[in-house]
Amino acid sequence: MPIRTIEVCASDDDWRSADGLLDDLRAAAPDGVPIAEFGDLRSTFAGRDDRVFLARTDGRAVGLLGARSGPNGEVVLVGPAVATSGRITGPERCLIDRAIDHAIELDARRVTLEVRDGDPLVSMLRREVGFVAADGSVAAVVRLVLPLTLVLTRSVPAGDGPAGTTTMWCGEGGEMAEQVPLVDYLVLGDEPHLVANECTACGARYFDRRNACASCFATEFRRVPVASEGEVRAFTIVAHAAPGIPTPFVAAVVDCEGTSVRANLIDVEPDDEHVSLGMKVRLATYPMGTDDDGVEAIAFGYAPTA
Amino acid sequence: MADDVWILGINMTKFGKHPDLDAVDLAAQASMAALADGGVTMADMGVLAAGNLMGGGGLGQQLQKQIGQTGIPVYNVSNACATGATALRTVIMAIKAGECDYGLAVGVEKLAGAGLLGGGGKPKSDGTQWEPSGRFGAVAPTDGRIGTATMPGVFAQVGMEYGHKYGGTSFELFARISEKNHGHSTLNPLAAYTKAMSAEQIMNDLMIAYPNTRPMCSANCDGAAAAVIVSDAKLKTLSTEQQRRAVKVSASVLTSDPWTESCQVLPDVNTLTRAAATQAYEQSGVGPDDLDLVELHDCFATAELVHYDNLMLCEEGGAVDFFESGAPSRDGRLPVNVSGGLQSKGHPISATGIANVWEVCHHLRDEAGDRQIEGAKVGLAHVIGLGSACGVHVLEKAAA
Repeated sequence: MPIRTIEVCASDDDWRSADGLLDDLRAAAPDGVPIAEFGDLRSTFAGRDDRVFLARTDGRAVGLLGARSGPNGEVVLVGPAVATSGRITGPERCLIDRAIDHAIELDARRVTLEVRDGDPLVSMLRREVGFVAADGSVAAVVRLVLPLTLVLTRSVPAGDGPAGTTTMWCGEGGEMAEQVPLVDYLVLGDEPHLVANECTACGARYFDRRNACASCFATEFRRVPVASEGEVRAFTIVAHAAPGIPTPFVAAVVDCEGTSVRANLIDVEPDDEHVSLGMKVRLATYPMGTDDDGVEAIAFGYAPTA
Repeated sequence: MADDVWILGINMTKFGKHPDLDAVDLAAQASMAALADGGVTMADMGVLAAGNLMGGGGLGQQLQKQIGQTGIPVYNVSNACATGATALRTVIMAIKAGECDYGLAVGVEKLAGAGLLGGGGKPKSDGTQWEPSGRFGAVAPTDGRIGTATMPGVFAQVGMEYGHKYGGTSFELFARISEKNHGHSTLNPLAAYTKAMSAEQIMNDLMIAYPNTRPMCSANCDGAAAAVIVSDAKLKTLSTEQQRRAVKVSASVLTSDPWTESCQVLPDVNTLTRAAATQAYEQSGVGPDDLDLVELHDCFATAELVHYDNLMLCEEGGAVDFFESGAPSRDGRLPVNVSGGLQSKGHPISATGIANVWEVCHHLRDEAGDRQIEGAKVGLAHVIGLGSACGVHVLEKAAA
């Protein structure tokens, strides 16, 4: 097993390693994919409470993350910039954990990290660290806004648990509000809605990622909201399902202004007197339950509008 | 245009429960019977295509060890419910390519007691943490929360979608389609179930996924089917009896689903079936009106309806009228699923795409006994596997 360490840049040797890594990354970065704004490391992170964290694998510098203290108890993270191929499970997580510990030691109220569109770091953050977007909607993290600012505040449970042992985070305001959507194409927030990956060439829409458009083979997609109102194009009332799935339920295909959506119909009696083809419905969300970490999962369905 | 190819020998085992026979036994039984039916042996075969989904893979080689290892190429194929048709088509392609004169295609499944397919038989439960995973970043199982993955539910929606588009469907209509097939099965001694059921009985049976009740779902069972294919040139060297009983493969088509908007969320079983039928009619020069019987993929009663339309047995949008006219009954204008169909004959998945060809051949050879469609000269066999794959074969009686 390679030995990974995270340390705070302190000695000249540390700074040289960090500068060297940054130079390598800048040289290797393809056009249009800027390395986070580290500037000159030692002057960017010159403040008393600023830190540059350096990840080493078997002694070799493989990643760095800067933390700059701002006003109002904010800690701004810069990076992480990582050299190794382990982009998702690599040193980023360790670096961020360490920076968060640092922020906690400073009694910081907010930790802010800017992440660029399409950066796989975004999903890692959401999955592993529990960052939530500034507006409190977790799903908004996913490649919706460019560039995206994530704001993270550690909720301090009663008794002030030891730093870095919890991944429970919430939005500004400090309430325990973390919610996750059942699927990543459900966007929570004030107006929950679905989003699709739309082919920029032909407009075909997909709820999962595609390497190329199945319709026209183009490779550019944009994230678009899907209309929340629609009509039932097909349904079935499932009486027998796999063990563990509560029945009966109404499974349906809803035509949302030209985008077909697969979903359950909710808030309707599951019988053929109450469910009909062509029925007008609207997206609605409901809580599925809370996991061991206190995170609430939110599912969606379509409810009759009449 | 390559020369014609012919079905020289064909067989299906009894469909049903075979607790004492494994998949290899069943495949061997069907294969040896198909070889005997064609008056040939494994020594003649130049290629073997073997279809099986639920086994551990490598059926073809296991089968050779039971019936004859001659070193010929083996293609183990897997294409959902179109697996049997894919095996058949693989052999047909090899012969059309001129690689050999004879080939054996076999499909087999051990499916008795398999239960609900599509949703997975394993209990679904949420983890202790909402951890996103998979292509949709789902934090928990989505089956049952975002629609249904079970086959009865998926195909129920296929039928309901047709009803939404064209109108005229009802629970009772779908039940009567099932009633027809269960009625047909009473004449098929190889069917898994041979009991007639009234529409009322069918509607009052166990509801699985509205409007499909249990008897409206394909019957999981064990079974195998096998066919020996021969080139036109070789057939001409065989006995007059072999030539007389040979059935011409006038069209052999396999399609997958082209992109359609809605197929991203609900399988579109229509577009690829229509495409396969169109190609098959073009290849064979046979039109829907020339058909004497059709075995189509009635995996659920709701599916049979849409395939009347997809196979162009009726005008577009006219499937309900077609059924109501009595045409698809065995005494109607264009009998459909006189074997009893998947709902009562049974659906040992990989066997189905050869078993339906066997049924058609049986009639074209005038060997179907009590359920013979008199004077049958041309038939069509259709299967569809979700994902999707569609196989259509048009078969013609040998010219006397």
